[in-house]
Formats: sequence, structure tokens, C-alpha cells
Amino acid sequence: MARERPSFLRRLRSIEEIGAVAGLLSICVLLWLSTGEKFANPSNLLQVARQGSSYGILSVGMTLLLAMGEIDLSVGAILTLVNVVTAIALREGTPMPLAVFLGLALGTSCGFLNGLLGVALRIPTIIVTLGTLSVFRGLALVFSNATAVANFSKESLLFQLGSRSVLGLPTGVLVMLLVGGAGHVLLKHTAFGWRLQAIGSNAQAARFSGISLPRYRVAAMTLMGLISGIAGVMELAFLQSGSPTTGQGYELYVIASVIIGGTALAGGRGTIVGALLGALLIAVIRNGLVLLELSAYWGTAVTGAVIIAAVAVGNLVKKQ
Amino acid sequence: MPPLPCIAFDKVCKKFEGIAALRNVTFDVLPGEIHAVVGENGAGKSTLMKLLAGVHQPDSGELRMRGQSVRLDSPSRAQDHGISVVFQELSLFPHRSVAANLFIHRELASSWGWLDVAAMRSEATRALTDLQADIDPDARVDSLTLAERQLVEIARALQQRSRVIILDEPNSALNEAESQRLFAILRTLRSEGVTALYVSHRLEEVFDLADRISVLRDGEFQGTFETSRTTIPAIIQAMVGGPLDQAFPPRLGRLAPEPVVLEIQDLIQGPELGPISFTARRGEILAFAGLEGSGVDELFRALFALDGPARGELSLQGRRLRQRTPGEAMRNGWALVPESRREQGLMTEKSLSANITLTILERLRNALGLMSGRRVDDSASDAIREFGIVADSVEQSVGTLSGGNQQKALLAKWLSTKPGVLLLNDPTRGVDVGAKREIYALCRRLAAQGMTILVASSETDELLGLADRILVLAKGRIRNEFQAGEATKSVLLRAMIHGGLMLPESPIDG
Repeated sequence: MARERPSFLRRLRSIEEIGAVAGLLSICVLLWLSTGEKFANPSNLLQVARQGSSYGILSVGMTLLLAMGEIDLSVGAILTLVNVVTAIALREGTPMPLAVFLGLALGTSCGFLNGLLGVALRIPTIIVTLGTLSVFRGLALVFSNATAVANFSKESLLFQLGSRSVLGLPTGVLVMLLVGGAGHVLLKHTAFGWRLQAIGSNAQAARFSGISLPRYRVAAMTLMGLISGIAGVMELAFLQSGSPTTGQGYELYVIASVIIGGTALAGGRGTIVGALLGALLIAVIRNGLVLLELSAYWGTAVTGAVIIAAVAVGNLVKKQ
Repeated sequence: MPPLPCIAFDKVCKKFEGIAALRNVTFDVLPGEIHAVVGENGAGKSTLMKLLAGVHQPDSGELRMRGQSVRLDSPSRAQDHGISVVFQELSLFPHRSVAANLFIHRELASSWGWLDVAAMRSEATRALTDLQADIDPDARVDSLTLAERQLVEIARALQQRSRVIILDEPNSALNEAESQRLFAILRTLRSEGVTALYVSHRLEEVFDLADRISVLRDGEFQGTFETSRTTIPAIIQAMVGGPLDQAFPPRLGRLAPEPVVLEIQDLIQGPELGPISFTARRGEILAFAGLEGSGVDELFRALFALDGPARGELSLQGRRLRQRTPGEAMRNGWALVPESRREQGLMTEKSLSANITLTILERLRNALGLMSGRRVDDSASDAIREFGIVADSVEQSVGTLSGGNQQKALLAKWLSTKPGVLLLNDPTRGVDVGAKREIYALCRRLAAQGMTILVASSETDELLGLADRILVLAKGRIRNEFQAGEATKSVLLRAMIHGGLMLPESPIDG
């Protein structure tokens, strides 16, 4: 059997998600040992998964973007804007399906605008979205008068599902898995996804190969907008209100999820499975800090440290 | 007793990725002379200069300065030895002022650490006046003309009290008057004991300026000639060397001429290129020859619409083409194998199969419209077999292949689109002799099947051996045409060199 060990190790190293898997397992074991049943019981675990699903849904789109060498900082702000506007639409008496459609269309438009601005004005996406992050968040505050929008009927299917479980899983987790599955197929099994990765790997060679860089950039940003819209609607379904303060700082957790998952910041490849595991890891850490009865402020600091550790472990394992 | 050579190269060798760029180069440069280094594209001139600049280090052999062995393992070490380089690609900081550029890394400062801007400005003014250059030291470098920037580079070299100045194709961007002023400056410097190494294609100027001329060919030193005792034809003979080797498969005898399928009419792109008109036949290998900056690269880019739509008419098989993007060019049946395979051609971290199939992804989808892994692998395996690519599997990443196999992968990537017109820009750059032969044989085979091939190369041998017809470009236009067998290497080289000089020079705008 001695001959097979190196090949097993090498195969282990070639798994892109190895950092996220190692990080997730070790943190879970640590929490289980230190808090026991408080952590390792079904209802807590499902709660953790629900928390991770917001980052998780967004991380699907972000994986596509990082794979093509782009980055979107406005995802959290689009989520907030969609969340607030959909709530306002419901408050004004719009039927639920139409309100949801409006929200998704708004998210898609925001993404399209991000892509278009970058291409038309020749500004890097990271700069464009640094700007639109403030614009979208500002609009959410203006539209909502900076207060929660909650005075609408919660009888519709959206809110029935939002706070419950389907097939034993919280609805948010289910949506995350659906979006993730679609994103995975798109990235790994379509010409579109292969070309995104080609652009991230060598943009000049992609251009020489007849791939229109502006078109793909706008398409990917638009898709990110749609996904942010989905996340915004799910946030509304869970919170049962439109909140102008939700989604703050999500962009950093989402980018961290994707990188912990094993997607290269430099582009060229991506893994959506890894990104979802990364999102889960971040949710576990935040849950663990609550269970350990540490101050919420520590949560922010510890999360950052764990992000660096997870990426470093992933790199170490691969280089060995 | 003769003076100690200022610089001596002793059996200097340098390889890149296993390909010899310099082989046992041995010659002396005397103090206070203007010494020209000439050779064809790819002869090793720039590599030799980069050894002196400390950019590259020799694999074996020795560099001596005034009898002392030196190791120039970094650009700053080269500067410490009094060597300055004015490169083809200007190495100034475009957003900073002239004065700031002159004192980069040697800033004048007061004892408190404050920069002494006034002193730097007055020093800069003096240095520029010494060169009779009327340049404002506060001007931003990107507001200067190319000629002025070149003068700033020379001023910087002199500021560093360099004893050796290397000029690598310094005047490819200069007009006649500016060149003459540069030469006057070099002569003045020579009288002050500064040694100049001067790399150029333009032999007339070399004869006008240099005291001695050293010739390189295929990385080997061919001899140093006293300018007063040699002639331009003798130097060209030394640059060109013996007869062609036998790497090229014979041309096909054709019974009847094939029809003209490709017509280019008044193609213009930007101020550098055109108008250019030519036709090509089915199954013809049409070569484009020209020195750096002659417009050959630009022509290929324009044909493939890489810089946006070009003016002029393109028609293929009697059908007028609309070709505004590379994607449209591909759909029209064009393929471009670019000159730089690592930058423009391949995704080096990705697998062979991902690279080879990138241009034909649509064709490899299954009934659901998803990428079929089996079809992708089959297609890549077929290409690997067909083009004789040596690799462990289709999953091997392209960056780990040898240069020759990378080049074959690049060809496979483009030939899998089954193009009607194939543009090959430097198809054998940095590949070994064996792979070269295979690529030549492949070109012949494709032409025999009816593909029209347009080829450019940095090696004139390749153009002569491969082409049915050769068009010579200079300054963005076609200057000469040769049929296969009509041109010899020295005739072609002369046409390339003279083609550019026979034209009235146009002043260069900043």
C-alpha cells in the first residue's frame, strides 16, 4: 500500500476546496469539543446553514466574477436596495409575485449598470462598484427614510416559506443550493463558463481567440446583479421586513468565502462548491462566537483572522 | 602596446528555455570608440546588450572591463561599472518631470533629507544644454517627442558619468535630422573618451558613424571589421552567411495556377499602416518581410481586426467581408497564430485540452447545450496525435510543455477552427530545429489542401524557404515583391533595409 499513499496525497492536494474543507472540519470539531451539544444539534446546525445562505447565494456570482478576473464590491448594497424596494412595493399593495419580479429586475439592472459603466467609461470594475456601493446603499436609505419597512401583509407564500423549512432545509439554504447548482453547471459545463475562465487566465489570449471581453464583462456583472437580487428577496422573506441596514459589509464576507473556497483571486479558475463551503465556514465561526459567549465585536476580528488562516492553510497544503 | 579593451566578451554563452541565443561570443570593444553591433533579427544583439546592462547573466564565459573580470548581476551593478543603456523601449517615467527622471534613484537632497529641487533642476538644465537639447527640465516626459525622450535618456546616462553608453536601435523612432544630431553628440562624446556600443539595422548609418563593426549571426560572432576597410555588401554577406539549410520541404509543382481567393484593397489602420493592397491564391504561402516597425505586425493585427475595424476592403472568394472584431474574423474563416505564444496565444496554467478547444467550444456541446467532456477530450486527443504534441495527457498544463510543443498546441488551437486563411506571425519563434521542420512540413501540407497562408517571421531564412511569394514592407507599405526562387537572402535583406530609407522621412509628432 506504500506506493499508493503519495498518489492519494497528491489527489488530496489537487482538490481546490481543500483549504475550506480543512478549515470547516477543524472549526466544527473545535466547537463540538468546547460547546458539545449546544453546537452539534440539528436545529443549531440548520440555523448556521441559514445564516450562511445569504453569503452563499452571493458567493456563487462572485465566484464567476473572480474566475474571469473581476470583482464586485456592490453586491451587499444591491441586496439591501432590492430588499427595501421589494418591501416598499409590497407595502404599496403590489401583488407578491409582481413585487418579487420587480426586485429581481432591479437587481439585474443594477448589475447591468455596473458592467456597462465599466465598459463604456473604461473604469476597472472594482472602482465602478466601489462607487455604486455607496450609490445603491444611499438610495436604499432614501427610499426607506432610513427605517425598516414592515407594514405589509405577511400572508403570502414568500413569507410562509421564508421563515420555514422545505424538505427539512431552511428555504434560504434550498435557494442557495439551487443557485449554486446552476452556477456550478454554468461555470464548469457551458461554453460561457469556460470562456469566463479563459478571460481570467489570459485576457489577451482570450481576445485573440475571438472572445469579446466587454460583452462577457457586462454579462457576468448582470448575472451578479440578478443573484444579488435573489439574495435580497430571500433576506426579505426571512427578516419579514425591508431593512436599509441589512447587507452591510457582506461584500467582504462574500469575497472571503470565495477565496477560502479555493478560487484564485488572480482569476482563471473557480469553484462554487468551495465558495459555498467558505460561506458555511464563516457562518460557523460567527455561530461559535455566540455559543462561546464572546462579545459580538470579537466576531468581526476573529472572522478576519480565520479568513487569512484558511487561505494560508490551503496554500500550504497545495505547495507541500 | 595596444590599449586594454574597455569591454571584452570571452566565450560568452546564453540560452533561453534550452535555445541558444549566444554561442561563444568573443570580441573586444576598445576605449573611446564607436563600436556597432549588427545582425539580423534574432541574431542575439539585444541579448548581448542585456548582458552588459545587467538584465541577463551569461550561462558561461566571461565579461572583462579593462582587463578585470566583472559580474554584472543587476542593472545597478552595471551602472556601478559605468555602463548605461538607452533601450529600444524607452525606460523613462512618463508621468514625472525631466529633472525627476534624470535623478531617479540618485536624488539630490539637503542634509535634512529634503529633496533639493532647485539643485536638481539646474543640474538638469546644464546636462541638457551640454547636449544642445532645448528641453524644459520641468516638462513631463509624456509631453516630449520620442526624439526628445531619447535625448533625456542620453542625458541621464551622461549624468551618471557613464564611460560606456549602449544604444539599442536608438534611432528607429528618430527622423533624419534628429538622427544626425544624435550622431554629432556621439562623436563629441567619443572625443571625450566615452565608449559607445551602437546596435542598428541601418547599415548606411553604421558606416557613417562607427569606427568598427561586429557582426552576429544566429548567436555566433562572425567577425569585427574596420569600417574604413570594409563595404556594406561584405557586412551583409557576414550577416547572412551560407546557403539555406535543408529544413524546408520542396514546393509543390502545380499544373495550373490556383484561383485568387483573397483580395485586400487599400487597407489602412492608424497612421502607421497602409494603404496596403495585395491578393493571394488558394493554397499559396505568402510571406511578409520587414524590419521591426515596418508594419508587418500591424498588418496582421489589422487583418484580424484586433485593433477595431480597419479601413479598406477585404474579400474572400469574391465575398466582401465585414470584419470588425476578431470574433467576426474567425467566423469569416480567418485564424491568427500570434507571435507571442505566452502572452497572446496560450493560457499557460490551463490544460492542453482547455487551450486547444477554446476556439471551437460551440462545436463540442452535447444535445443539452452543455460542454461535453468526452467531446472536448476526444477533440484534444485528436489534435495531439495529428500535430505530434508530446504530453502526458490532455490534462497536462501547457506551461509545463517544451517551447516546440507549446507552439504546436497553439497551431492546433487555431487549425481546429478549419480556417480558410491562416495568419502565422513568427510561427517558429523559440522552438528547436526538430519542431521547426515539423511546422514547415505542416504549412506545406495545409497549403496543398488549399489553405491560404500569410506568414511573417523574424528569420529571413524561413520566409525564403517557405514562401511562394514574398512581399517586403517598410514604413507601413508594400515596397517590393519577390517570387519564390527569385530572391536570395542578401537581396531580401537589402530590400528590407533600403525599403525604409528610400522614403522621405516624416517628422515625428509627440
